[in-house]
Amino acid sequence: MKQLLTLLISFTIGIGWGQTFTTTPGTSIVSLATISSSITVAGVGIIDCDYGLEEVCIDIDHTWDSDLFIYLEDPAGDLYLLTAYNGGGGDDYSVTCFNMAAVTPVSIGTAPFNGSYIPDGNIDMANNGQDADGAWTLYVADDAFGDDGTLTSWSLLFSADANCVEPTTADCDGGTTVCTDETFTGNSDGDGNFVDLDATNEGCLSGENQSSWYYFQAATDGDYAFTIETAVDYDFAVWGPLAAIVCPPVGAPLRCSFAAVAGNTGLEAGAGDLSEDAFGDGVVDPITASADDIFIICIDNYTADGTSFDLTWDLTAGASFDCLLLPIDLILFEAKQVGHSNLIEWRTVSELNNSHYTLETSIDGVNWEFEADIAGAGNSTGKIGYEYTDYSVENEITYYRLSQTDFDGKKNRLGTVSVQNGAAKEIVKIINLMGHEVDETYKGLKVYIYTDGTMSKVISQ
Amino acid sequence: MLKIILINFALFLGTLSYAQEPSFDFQYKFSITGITENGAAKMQIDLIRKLMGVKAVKFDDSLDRFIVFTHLEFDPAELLLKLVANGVAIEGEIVKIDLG
Repeated sequence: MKQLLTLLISFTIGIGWGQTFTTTPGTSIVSLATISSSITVAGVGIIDCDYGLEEVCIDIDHTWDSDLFIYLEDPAGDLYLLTAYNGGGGDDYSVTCFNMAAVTPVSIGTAPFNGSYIPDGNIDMANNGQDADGAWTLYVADDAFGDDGTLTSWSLLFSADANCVEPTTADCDGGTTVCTDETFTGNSDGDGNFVDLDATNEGCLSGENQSSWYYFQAATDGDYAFTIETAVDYDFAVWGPLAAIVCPPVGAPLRCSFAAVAGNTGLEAGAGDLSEDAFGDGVVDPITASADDIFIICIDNYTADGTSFDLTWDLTAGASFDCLLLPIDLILFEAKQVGHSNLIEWRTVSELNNSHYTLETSIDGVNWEFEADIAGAGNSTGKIGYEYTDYSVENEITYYRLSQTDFDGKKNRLGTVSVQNGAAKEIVKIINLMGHEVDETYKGLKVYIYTDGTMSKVISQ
Repeated sequence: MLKIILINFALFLGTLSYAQEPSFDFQYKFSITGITENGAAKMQIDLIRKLMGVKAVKFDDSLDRFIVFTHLEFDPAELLLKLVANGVAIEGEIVKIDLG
């Protein structure tokens, strides 16, 4: 390999500190081929919302930038799209940095790219609790014939200015609080946005496959058991007793089943064990809890085929749940213009008995029209982010009003925000990279040209 | 080109934040010598996942057979060679079922 790897660690005094890893491969980029270049990161450790990957910079000489599809692979094998077919017939990514805090999306930038751009993918997703130490690989695919180039150098910046994405219900931090003994149905499509389990805390489990996380708090002393009813191989672990919810859970679980049997599993009186491996019978002993004890449950579909489960509680010896949770705690409610739409976002850190949100719009802040109902989380104590895109922006100012409705029908108004859109623009025409006029159904990169002379580029897949 | 499209599609899926019902295009069914019980089968599943690049795998205890659900298309003969070469003692042939 002709790659020359150099490692630079920089300390930015006064702002915080960061670690930059740079390589100067000088690798030729050839038409209709993909090249790769790796950086071995060491001494960074776990990257998450507090410290993580902030920026990826590349220096590429290449004629006709829109030939290029460039992405990054982290040590865990997850891929992050940096730029896909952007830049039209322009040349070079000249010291171009991809940073989620940048102002300009690379998809609407122009070549030669220079400075900071928002990547086409989301590199914040790398800050998921993984160990950053290991090989990070940049792939540069030249997907068209006729133009070549060189990957001169690229670098990774890890710092305290990095951000992360919101947890999902498949993450410990996005878990759902259980506060009734009614049977509920659960499912998950994956292992979430964060790495919650490792050798220090997974107990009998083998990582997450399709996981769902829950919390419960004992209101009274008693015995707590449950049955996870399903047709496939589900596993689970319970951590506690805790004084507060801590994610990821610390230490080995209190109860754990990794039984390979397809079908029901859970906590059952008389099971005779506290933890079991693949050869177990699917049940372990109930939990005897004291009032106020908090527990975290991870329920994992090992088969990973999307099959759901029903969880039924068996509370005995006086056991009951504590539902004295905070009402909805809204920590963010804002709206902004994104392209030709308005994006409305809100976040909660807790929800109780929340059926749904209702979003209303107004052109004068006085007369309101229903816009949408958005499902709430029911009961939750984790951070949850919501967003809604209003594609029918027609006015200089649009007001948005958010309210929330409990399962019992009680409605609470949460707030009002507005967006200054300016005069609405109209599309003159849409063209593709060849300059041919296309319509909105065109797949690939297309350029929108507006009545005010501005343009925007959109990739449709 | 196909590789690029597949990667692009995978990245696109990775950005989705809502739960989706999984859909699979193919099933592959096979037995492994000496594996006739759920517990022993589960100890093989992580290796199968790694070798095939898949997630959804289950063991049918009544037929002593593994079933892999995936959108990936493999040639059964090539898959057999790959699994055997990596220490998975396939018994008999691999049956491919197109669910499309």
